[in-house]
Amino acid sequence: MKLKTKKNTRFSGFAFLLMLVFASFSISNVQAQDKISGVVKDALGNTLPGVNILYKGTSIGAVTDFDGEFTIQKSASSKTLVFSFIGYKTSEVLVGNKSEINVTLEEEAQGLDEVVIIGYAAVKREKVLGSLSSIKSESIEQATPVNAFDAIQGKLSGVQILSNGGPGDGFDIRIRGVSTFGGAGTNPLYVVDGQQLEDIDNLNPDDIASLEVIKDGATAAIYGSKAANGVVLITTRQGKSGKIKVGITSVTGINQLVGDIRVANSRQRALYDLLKAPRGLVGSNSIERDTLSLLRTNSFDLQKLVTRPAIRQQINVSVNGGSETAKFYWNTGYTNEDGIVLRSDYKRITSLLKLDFDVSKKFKVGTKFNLSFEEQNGLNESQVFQQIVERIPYYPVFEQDGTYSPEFSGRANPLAETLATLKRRDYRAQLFSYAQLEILPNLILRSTVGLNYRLNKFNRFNPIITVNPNVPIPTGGESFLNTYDIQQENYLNYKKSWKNHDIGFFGGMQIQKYSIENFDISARFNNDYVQTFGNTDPLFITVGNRTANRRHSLYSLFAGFNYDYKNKYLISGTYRRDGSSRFGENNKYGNFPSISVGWKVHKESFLKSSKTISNLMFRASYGIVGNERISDYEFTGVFGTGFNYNGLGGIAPVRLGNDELRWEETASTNLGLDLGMFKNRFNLNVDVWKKTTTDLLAMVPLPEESGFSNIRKNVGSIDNKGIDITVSGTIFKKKGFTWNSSFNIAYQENKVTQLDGGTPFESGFYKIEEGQPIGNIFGYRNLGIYQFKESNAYDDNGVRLTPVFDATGAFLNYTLNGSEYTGTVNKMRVGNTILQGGDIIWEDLDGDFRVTEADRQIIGNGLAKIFGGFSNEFKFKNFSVSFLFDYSFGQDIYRRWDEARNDLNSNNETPGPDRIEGAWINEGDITPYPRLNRVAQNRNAPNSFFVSSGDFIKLRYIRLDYSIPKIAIDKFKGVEGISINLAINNVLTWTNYLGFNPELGNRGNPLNPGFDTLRYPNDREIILGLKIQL
Amino acid sequence: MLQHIKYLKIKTIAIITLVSLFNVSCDSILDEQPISEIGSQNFWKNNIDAESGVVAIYDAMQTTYSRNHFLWGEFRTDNYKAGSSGASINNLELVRQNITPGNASLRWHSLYSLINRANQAIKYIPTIIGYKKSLLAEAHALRAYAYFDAIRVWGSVPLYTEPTESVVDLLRPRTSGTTILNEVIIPDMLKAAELMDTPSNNFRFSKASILCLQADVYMWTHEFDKAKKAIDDMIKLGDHSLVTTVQAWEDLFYNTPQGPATPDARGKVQKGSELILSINYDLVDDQRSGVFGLFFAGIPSFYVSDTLEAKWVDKFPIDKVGWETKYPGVAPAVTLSTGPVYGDWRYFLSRSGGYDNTLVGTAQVAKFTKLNFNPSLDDTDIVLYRYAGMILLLAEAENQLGNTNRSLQLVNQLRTARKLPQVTLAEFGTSIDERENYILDERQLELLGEGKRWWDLRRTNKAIQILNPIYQITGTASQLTENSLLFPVYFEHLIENPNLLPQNAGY
Repeated sequence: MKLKTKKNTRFSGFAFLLMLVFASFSISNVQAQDKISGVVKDALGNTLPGVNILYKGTSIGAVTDFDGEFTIQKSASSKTLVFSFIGYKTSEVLVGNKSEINVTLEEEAQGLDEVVIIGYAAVKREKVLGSLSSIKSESIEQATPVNAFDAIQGKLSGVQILSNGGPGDGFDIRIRGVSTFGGAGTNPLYVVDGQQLEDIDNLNPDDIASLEVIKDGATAAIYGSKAANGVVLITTRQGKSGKIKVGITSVTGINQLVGDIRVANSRQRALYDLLKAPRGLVGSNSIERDTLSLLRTNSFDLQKLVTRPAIRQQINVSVNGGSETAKFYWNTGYTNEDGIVLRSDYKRITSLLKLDFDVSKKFKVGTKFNLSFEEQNGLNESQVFQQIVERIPYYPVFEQDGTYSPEFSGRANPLAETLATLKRRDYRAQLFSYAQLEILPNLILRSTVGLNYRLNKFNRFNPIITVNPNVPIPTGGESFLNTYDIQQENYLNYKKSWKNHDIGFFGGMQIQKYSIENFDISARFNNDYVQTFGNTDPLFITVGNRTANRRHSLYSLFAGFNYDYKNKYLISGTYRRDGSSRFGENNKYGNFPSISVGWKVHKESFLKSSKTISNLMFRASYGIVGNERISDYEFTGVFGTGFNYNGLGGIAPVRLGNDELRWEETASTNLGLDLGMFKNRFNLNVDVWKKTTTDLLAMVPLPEESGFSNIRKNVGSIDNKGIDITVSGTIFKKKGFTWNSSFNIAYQENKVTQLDGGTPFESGFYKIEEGQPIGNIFGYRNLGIYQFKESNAYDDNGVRLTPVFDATGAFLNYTLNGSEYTGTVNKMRVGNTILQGGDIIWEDLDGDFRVTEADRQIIGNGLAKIFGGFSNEFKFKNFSVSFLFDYSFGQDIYRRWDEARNDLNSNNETPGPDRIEGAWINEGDITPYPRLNRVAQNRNAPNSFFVSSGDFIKLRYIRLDYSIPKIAIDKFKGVEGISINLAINNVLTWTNYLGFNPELGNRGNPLNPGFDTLRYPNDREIILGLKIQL
Repeated sequence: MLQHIKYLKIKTIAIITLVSLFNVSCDSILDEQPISEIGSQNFWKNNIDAESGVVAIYDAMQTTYSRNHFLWGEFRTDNYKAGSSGASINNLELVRQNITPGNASLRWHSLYSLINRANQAIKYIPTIIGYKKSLLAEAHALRAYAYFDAIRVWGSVPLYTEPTESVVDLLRPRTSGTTILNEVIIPDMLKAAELMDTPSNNFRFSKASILCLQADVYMWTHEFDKAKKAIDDMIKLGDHSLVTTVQAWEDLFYNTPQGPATPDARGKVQKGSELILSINYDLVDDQRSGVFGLFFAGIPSFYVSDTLEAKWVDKFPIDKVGWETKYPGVAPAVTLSTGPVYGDWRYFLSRSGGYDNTLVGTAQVAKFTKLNFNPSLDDTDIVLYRYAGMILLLAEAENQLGNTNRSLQLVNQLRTARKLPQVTLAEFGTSIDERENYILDERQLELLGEGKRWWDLRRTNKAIQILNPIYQITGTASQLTENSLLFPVYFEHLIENPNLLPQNAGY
């Protein structure tokens, strides 16, 4: 019987698809007898679509349609119908002889009955004592995401999501500030259905049922070693018992470049060519002599040429269903994103199969497979994006026959660069299985095994067109990254409730083993035709120094308890002991305890009868988590191979070992308040937190005379503190119309409290020192431009003198504060050069009239102080409109790309148009920019001129959803629902930032936030989506 | 139901076994050792290890001296004027004599890698039973060579004579150049000579090149008798001699790849009996020497100076009348189909343009490569010691020791080999100082582009005396002072180790 139903549904589903294609609407309405029908409504009289209806004790059921109506066959085996719906109390109705049943479901205090699995125990959401931000699949859907992170940007307080670039390039997620110096160590731990993963790039957002971010240390502590930067818990969708359901979603989007960067045209370049030589305006280069020269008029809009309107397509087909004892969920998704820059497309195919079996009442098993393939075509960012803003505008791009111009004067043609092949392919297989046995009543033994395999292939190829035409040799390379890890856990769970007491214990062990194999090879190719390694010059094959194998393992023991009295006073604690192979013999183990308490004030007698306050809870927690994400084997000094000379292989020391390496630890305190009012229609969550990280793991520079440049050490401490606030509620709810709104804001502060020996260190343009936050841009302050040669004059105290000129413009004398100055005149110098008119006035901090490294100071900070989001959803009958703003304030961006084109370091770079037009030319000019002569003294970097505020507010999306009314789809047999949506992503950005995008990911380096070398440009996307339920 | 119970039992037993199994072996789980690297305790066990360890010192030498050999020894001289204003500022700073502490060529990282690897070898080779003495000799010679450059470039530098194996005691202050010279460089080079049993090797330290190093050091310390002895000993080895043809001389340096613009190019030659020690570069390895980029760049940093051109043409007139007036009866060595080439043929081979160049305009040094090539194809060996240079150095030593006749004879020995007119005693000069200047000029022309001129001027204390008047006239560079003769210490070194302060005076 069941099988037959399945088949019918499937077939009618396909039939429906076919009909859609042929647009034929000839279908008859089938009426059946012996049925029960009715409408399900809420307390306000709104109809409820999607309510689950089941005959008690069977798997026979139905779902209400978009108008809250249902029909169900009468059943012989059961006489009770169970109505259940998320957020509402379940209702049971006796059928009797009724043929019509109308039900009103009572709303439940919002979502508090839900269960979330944290670590090794299931916790009711109302009993969570830490700080958790959650997002549900419906909210994920609103962003029409490609990646899980697209979906949560701006929605979770205290969680910052920063984009790293184009399609497939991933995101950085920063949970409660930067609390580590390390590279990979800034990412949170991802736990997908219990499996610990390093990243979730290959997870189809369509598979996510809910996503939680654990922000506080106490809740995260049970994950011990990897939880220092927070934990992201993901629960994927699961099969539901009942009839088999097929869901099809399709998304099509069109993307276009927004916000291009102003670049100089040929006329401006010619002006620059004229002014850059030291001889000033008088000159006679070829451009000047020939005023009709093409060179004056040929300007290419390179940004337009390298970008394109791009299309994104996503299709998901899911099938789920099962019986009470066997459930399955199977979803296959295909995503193709073209990318608005030529040759930057991304493709992903995923297939997730989840099976859960109840072998007996006491024994359950399940397994999950996630197979994925990703392919990303890329281009050499530094060769393309920097070039399109600084290439000499009259340099050829196309030849007369329409082909790309070859490399010229050391600069590759950025358009030709987009031909160059960078191709990343990722083949992944993830497997996770569990078995669960109830040994005694209330005592459960669970055993899991997870396997995660990944083959990453990266190919690069530089065709002849992009290399020096004198040496027309194409080059290329290929690297393989072959990794797998195994995770095995065994643990016991005990739960008991009696009278007013509720108690739970758990304890167990975990083993994780990682194996990484790297192979990297590059070669010269014989020609462009074949780009695989059969076409290489055998004499020129080089094995890269990344070629190496590594292993890493972890062994952990853990235990925890929770207890509450009358569900009013709550306490819980956990303890975890982790051993890691990455540390020295005596420091392998780290201990991570946590304790949390909570008080539900609204359950006290004085608030019990309150009509306004429906929930009031105070929470406090303290916990320690660890970080071991450093490279393998750093505890020991080693010799490496590959130091060859004259045909012989050499071996040399490559690393100074540090056998004292130990765990980096973050202790965090969280104080929280949850307030729910008017039956939790209005909710407020406030969390005040502080994190103290000690024994920071960092690469510390060594004096280079030691023969080494750095060593990994535990060097110091960082403090992070902040407040996360979320306000959400249903602002308006009347018959048929609801308005839900949610606002979140986070404030953060960061301070380095201790460094190795108190010595500050620099990381690129950033300085890290005690008492200061991470992210300080450290450089020279630019105070303006000397108007005259004589303007470079100071008294002994460093106060600038004012030069006075006579009527003919000849210099007379200096004045100070209005009166003539006769003392010593000091002139500012950079190196041995005395600064001239048109040179930058550098701030001389030490007053020695020489601008040196000692005159550098903090000129900005790349970390945001305040950020958050504001989302809204309006529902009216079958329509819903949602939109989201997110914002970030207080961060500075260093425009490295702008400095690179304006430092006049290379003849081949063209300054920005404002730099050229606003340059100092003649004595007496008052200008924002220095002269265009290519002199070293105007090149100090970083320079405060290129620091800009990165503040922004973004209207991230607007989305309109429309569910086609039941009446319209009733005719299609088997179709349960169709909805259509139209969305615009990245609608508007309010910012003063001049680059492509003020959102900058760290790319793995937490010490250089807001460093813009010009990333993938911003795009706006218009999306049309279709969702069909069969 | 029975079946279920059976299931449970199996599962329970399995799980319990699993738990206990993992518990037992947890310490071994966490014991991971490097797979693709060699643990410190497993190396320096035999002569094969010793050979690999010494090869790695040369590998660091490749990195260290790529470009730096010239940036330190060649471009701060009257041989050059600044090239295109579009060239690298780091390069232009050198030729303009206004070097800043941010100049990347001043980083000493790879130099100290070289020293650290040498220190490793010096510490551990003697622990190998039956170790090869010549390998230890090479390590000593390499360390001496590196420290000799370090003290010439920066004056005083931090001293490491033991390998760095822990982070203890790394913030060392600088040790004076004299101390390093007397306590490390000289003992090292003497020990190297004592241990070395290979008479000659083009690409690795051998008896011959260790003697050259000794001569260089003793010339620096003005111990002319010791320098003379070292060079005489080197000559006695008999492995090297002057080349005597134009072609053979060109072949000592020639490395011009074949390409669309150079169909007749002969690729890399760089062979000949004069080459005593060079740093070898090859395309199979990933290091490049940087010669193409420095001497024949697309955007040149350095042009041959007018001063040098004038000196050369003045000494060997390139017109018929001038030549015949100065050297009556001496036929030029090179005759082309168009007739004899007057002047010094080395001039035409050292300077871009060749014999038929009209000789107007600026020129780059074309001793190695004749055109602008991709630096990734640069496998030019860097010549450290050449027989001709040693002959002239010996001439200098003999001059200082009062043996004027032998000194002149040595100068003329080279002139003969180069098929150039002989020098008369009158022309040679009447005082030690005049003759020294004459020999320095001979060295300047013969060794152009070989990283020697700056050190010649420094060791004879003539940098200020010779360069300042030239800069006074041309205005192309800052005036030198006693303070600016040293290079500054790279600024980041001073940040990483504040004990290195103060910065060299003048920066």
